[in-house]
This record gives sequence, C-alpha cells and structure tokens, in this order.
Amino acid sequence: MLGRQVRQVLRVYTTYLTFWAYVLLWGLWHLLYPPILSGDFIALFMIAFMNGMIGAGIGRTLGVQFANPRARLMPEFSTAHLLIAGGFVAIAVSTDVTLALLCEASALRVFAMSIGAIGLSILGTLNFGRMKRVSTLLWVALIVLFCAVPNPDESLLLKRLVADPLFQATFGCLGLAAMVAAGRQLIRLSEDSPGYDALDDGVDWDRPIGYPTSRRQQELTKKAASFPPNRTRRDILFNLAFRHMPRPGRWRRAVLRQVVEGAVVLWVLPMQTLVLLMFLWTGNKGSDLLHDGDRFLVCFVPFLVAIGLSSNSWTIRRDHLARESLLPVGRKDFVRDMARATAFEMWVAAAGHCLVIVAALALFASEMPNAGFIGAWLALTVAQYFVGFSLMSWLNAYSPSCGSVVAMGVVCFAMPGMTAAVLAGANQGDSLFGGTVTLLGVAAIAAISFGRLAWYEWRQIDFD
Amino acid sequence: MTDKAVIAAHDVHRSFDSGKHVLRGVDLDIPRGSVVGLLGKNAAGKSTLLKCILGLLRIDEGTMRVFGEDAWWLSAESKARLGYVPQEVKLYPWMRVRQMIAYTAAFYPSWNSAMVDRLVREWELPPDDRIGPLSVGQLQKLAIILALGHEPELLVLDEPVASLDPVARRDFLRAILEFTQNENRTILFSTHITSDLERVADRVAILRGGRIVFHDGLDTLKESVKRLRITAAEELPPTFAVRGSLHMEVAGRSALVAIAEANDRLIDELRTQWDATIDVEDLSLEDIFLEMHHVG
Repeated sequence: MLGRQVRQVLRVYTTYLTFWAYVLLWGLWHLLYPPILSGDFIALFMIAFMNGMIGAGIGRTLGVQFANPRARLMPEFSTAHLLIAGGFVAIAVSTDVTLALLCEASALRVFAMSIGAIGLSILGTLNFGRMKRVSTLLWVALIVLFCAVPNPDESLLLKRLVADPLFQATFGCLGLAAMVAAGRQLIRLSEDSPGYDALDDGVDWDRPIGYPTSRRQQELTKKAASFPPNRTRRDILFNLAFRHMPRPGRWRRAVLRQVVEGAVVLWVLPMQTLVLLMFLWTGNKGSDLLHDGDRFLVCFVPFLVAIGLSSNSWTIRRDHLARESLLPVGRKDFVRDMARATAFEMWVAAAGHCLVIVAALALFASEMPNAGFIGAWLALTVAQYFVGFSLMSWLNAYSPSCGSVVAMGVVCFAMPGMTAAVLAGANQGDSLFGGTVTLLGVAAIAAISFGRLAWYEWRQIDFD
Repeated sequence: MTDKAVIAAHDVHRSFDSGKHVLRGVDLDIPRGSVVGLLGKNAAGKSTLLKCILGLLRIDEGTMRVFGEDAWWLSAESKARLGYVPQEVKLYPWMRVRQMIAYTAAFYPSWNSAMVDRLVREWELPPDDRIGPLSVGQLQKLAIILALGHEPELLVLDEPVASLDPVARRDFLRAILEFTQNENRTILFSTHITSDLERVADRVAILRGGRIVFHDGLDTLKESVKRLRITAAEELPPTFAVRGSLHMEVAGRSALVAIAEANDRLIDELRTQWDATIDVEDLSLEDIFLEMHHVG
C-alpha cells in the first residue's frame, strides 16, 4: 500500500512546473560545481546557497500539502509525503557528495554543508511567517559580522567551517535536527499553527503542467476578488493616495505604493550588498576585483535579485488586484501603474548594486580600473536588472508555461554568462566597447520583447 | 463515556486568539449507529466543534475522545475509520475526478470502488473532467464521495448540502440513508436545513452560547417542545410567567408560549390558575429551533 501512496504523492509533486524549474536549475548548477569546489569560502557559500534553495522549495511544497484538513485526517498521509521529501533530500545530498568525491574535495564538508543548509532552510521556510523579525535580525547580525571580519580567510568561524571536521559534523547534525523538527511540525500542523494561513494560500502558488491557462487565470482572479480586505492599513492608504489626493504624479504613486506595501526593496538591499561584498571582497583584488571563478556568480546576482523582487512584489499585489482595478484609472493606466511600481523597485536595486560595485572598487581594488571598464560593468548590470524585470513581468502575467520557464532558465544563464565573458575579455585586452554594445543591444531586444509580451498579457487579464 | 459512544466530549472549551470563547464547556456523547444533526445559529461554533472532534483544532480544556482515542492524537487506524466533508472543499484543481479518487483511495486500506463508481455515475460527475472547473455543488458531491469511499464508521459533515440543488440534496440524503443501513455507522452533521435533518437524523444536538443545550432523540425533542395558545378569562398581568418557557408573547387575555418540557400536569396547572382554555400545538424542528433562539 505504501508503494501505491508514494506513486500518487510523487505524481502530485512532479505535476508542478516549479518542480521542473528546480530540476533544471539544479542540473545547470551541477555543471558549475567542479570548478567551484576548488575554492574554500566561495565553495561553502555556493553549496549552502543552492541547497538552501532546494530546502526552501521542499519546505514550501510540504507546507502547502500539509495545510489542508485532508492531511491530518488521511491515514499515512504524513508518512508518504515525508518519505518523498526525504528522497529528494537524499538525491540532492548524495549527488553533491559524489561530485565532491570525484573532484577529490572533502566529502564530509560537502555533506555537512548540503544537509545543514537543506534542513535549516526547510525549517526556516515552514516558519517564515513567524520568523520575519528573526530573519531580519539574522541578516543584520551577518552584515555586522561580515564587516567586523577584516579578511574572511582569517575568520575563526569560517576557518573552522572550512577545515574542522567536528565543526562540519555539528553543522550537518544541526541540519538533520532541523529536518526532524520540521517533520514534527508538519505532522502537528493545524489551523492554530502560526503561518498556517500563508501556507494555505500557497495552494494557488504553483502552476501544474498541462492545466489550461484560461482556467488558472479564472481561479486566481476569483481568489483575488474574494480576498478579504483585512490589510486595513494598505487599503486606507491606497484609497487616500488614489482617490483623495489631487492626482498624484505617476512616479509619486510608485513611491506611495512602496510606503503602503512595506518597501520590500529596502529589505532586499542589505542582502544584495552582503552577497556582492562577499564575492568582491574575496576576489583576487586585481583591478576588476573579479576572480575567474567568481565572475559568473557576480554577474548572476542581478538576475537573482530581479527575479526575487518581482516575484515577491507580485505576490503582495496579486491579492489586491481585483479591488485595485476598481480604482479610478483606466485599464492601460492601471497596467502601466503596476509595471511602473516594479520598475521603480528595479531602479532602486540596480542603483544599490552599482553603488556597491563602485564602493568595492574604491575600497578593495589594488588599482582603480579605467572609467570605460567601470561604465561597461555598470551599464551591463543595469541592463540585466531590466531584462530580469521584463521577463518576470511576463511570467507574472498569469501565463507561465513550460516554454516561459525554459526561456527564464536560458536568459538567466545566458545573460550573466555573456556579461562575465565581456568583462573577462576586457581584462585580457579584448575590445570592451564592441562586446558591451552588442550585449546591451541583446539586452534591449530581450527587455523590449518580454516587456511587449507582458504588456499584451496584462491587458488581457480579466479583473472581474 | 459510555461503551458505545463513538464521540465523547466532556467540558470542552475552545477559544481563539481574537479572544472569542467559542466553546464553553461542551458535553456530547454520540452513540454508535446514530445519525446526529448539529444545529446552531451562525457563528455558534458548530464548525469549531466538528474540527475539535476531528483533531483539526486542539481543545483548550476538557477531554475529546473519538473511538476511545484522544482526538488530537488519532492513530492511522482510527483515521481510516473516519470520513469528513469540510464546509470549504479544497482539492487539487488540476487533477481529474478519477485521479482524485485514485489518489484518495491509495491512503485507505479498504476502498469500495463499486460504490464510488456508482455514486459518480448517479450524481453525474464527469470522471475525466478536471476538478478546477467543477461547480461548487459538483465539488461538494465529489467531497462526499471521497468521504464515503472507504466506508467510514464515523462520517462527519460540515454543512454538506449548503451548495447542493434540491435534486442533489435528495440524492445525498438517499446516500446517507443507504450508508446508515449498517448499524455500526455513525453520522454527525451540521446543517441549517432542518427539513433535511428531520428526514435523516434520529438525534439532534443544539449548540447555543458555546454549550450543547439539547442532545437527545429527534422525537423526544418534538414531544417535549410545544407551543401553548392560552386564552385566559381575565387580562393576563405583566408578571405572567410559565415554568420552562422558551419564548412568550402576551397580549391582553391571550398568550403564546413555547415551552421546553410540556406535560399534562403543567398544562392543567395553567388552566386552573388562569381559568384559561389552552390549545397545544406541535412544532416543526425549524419552529423549535427558532423558539429556542427567541426568533419570532
């Protein structure tokens, strides 16, 4: 009987598009794995990051499945679901360990980082609703810790994490303990559990393969329309801003939206700064600050931020879409307004990114590179934010499909790859101008194409 | 708890973070083989009580036992003996009806496929259609079929017919009657449609003010609650009162009184005391419910 249950549950998981997006990302990541394993600190960070992503995906999916009365009342429901989740974790960890053995890297270190990151991430994702403050404090503490350590290679904590088997084993055990705690929490999950509503909402979060887009649009719109107006502060401020203010300007409205929605971008900025500084600080400290192995990763950050920011903003806005569409603006203006609000966030994130690059160059570079190199780096960075923004606007317009997810995967890896190649070429004396202009052209075409697709989709959305 | 009680709730309290104390000492023993209708006004706590019974919500005080086990820690064996249809049905919208049935069947040690197929056919559910586009009524029918498939000993339904049309309601009631032919099966359901309850339930539990104010046979309830139409020889005073009255309207020499425990002795006493003629009226379950909640 267990075999039958496992087969049924497996079908549920593999039906979701995000599952295959994760598989794609995971596969591509393992292509990069061997060169990264040679580094110490960066290797640890990247293993933790990737496995943390996998843990977040597993945690989110499990939470959604368990936030349903059926989960508590169906016999052996928990067993079957936890078994499948355990299988995914085992595959992720064993692949990492196998690659580490093949690359003659420390298998214990990789095992500990993988299992630790996955376990802590699953537990963190399940408790995100009640851990917002804790995670914010954790980020602040990390930034302070990071700034307090003059050189990561000399940090006692990092040294021990890289070299001390006992310390690594402890981290791995922490991850295992977190997994056990997450399992216990899921088995006991009930309507009373903190964050249950957020997990419950997640039923609509993912898109199953082969499910008609039109039906999905209707479901999401129905959900949006029936969303109870319980975010009073937001509603009051919105009404104030849109109905009672004497025609606020377009960009002023975008700023007002930030105030009302809690300015997510301001929470993203420290995280983005931390990640960038970590890469740039540990570079070879040449004139461009970029080590060969890190270049792609640094160029990947804009996409990561753009995707995360767009998705998060969209999640916040989706629930209010039906009511906001009733505000006294025309359909086109309304769509433009939504796009402008996300574009504003992208500008802030891109500006923050550029500032970190300039600051890092001024602080850490052995010599300041020429203005052309800096200009090209900044221009390509901003371009990537806007390609990411357009792509996500399209994906968020209710119509993700297999094709669009593949497009996302290709663009996510192609743009940073090309940017890294242009910057590396400039370092080796190649012409910077030609590569930069070509890439900016490609970025502009991609941004405009995805933007037009998004614009088309958004105008079709039935708000009623 | 009696030996035959499938559900035994004693002094159950439950409140929410908002400070609302919904259940304030519920006592309820449901014997095996009974069909119990749970009645109560909106927000009386019916759904909360059903969720506490099923272990979906944890009780603050008291004891709640199902099949002799603590409801919060029900074993897999007990869960296999339970069926539940929630008020708001949540199923995977992308699954097809037959896939959803196969998914649910995989979790139960026994599954009556023949009965499920028959009900799917009789209730005109399209087996190859996806669940998302189904109407609310069709979704409710599917949820009921999924709850009946493993032939549970205890079936709990939270307003199961709220979204059904009259034909579907009749089919549902027929299925319930068929289901209860086995005397080991127990049904507890909440509803606002008292006529349906009258048709299938043999017991009624009324929830008011966070407590079960009545729990007994439907016939007992109907025999004990009566409406008295009193016409006295003289004008009735403002202090006019009747022992055990649920609701009373007095105008001049006439009074209309609903009483909880009507008996010949009480009626004779009133007749003698006020030199009155008294007509005793039987009440429908709906009238009893309204009288109990002081709605004219």
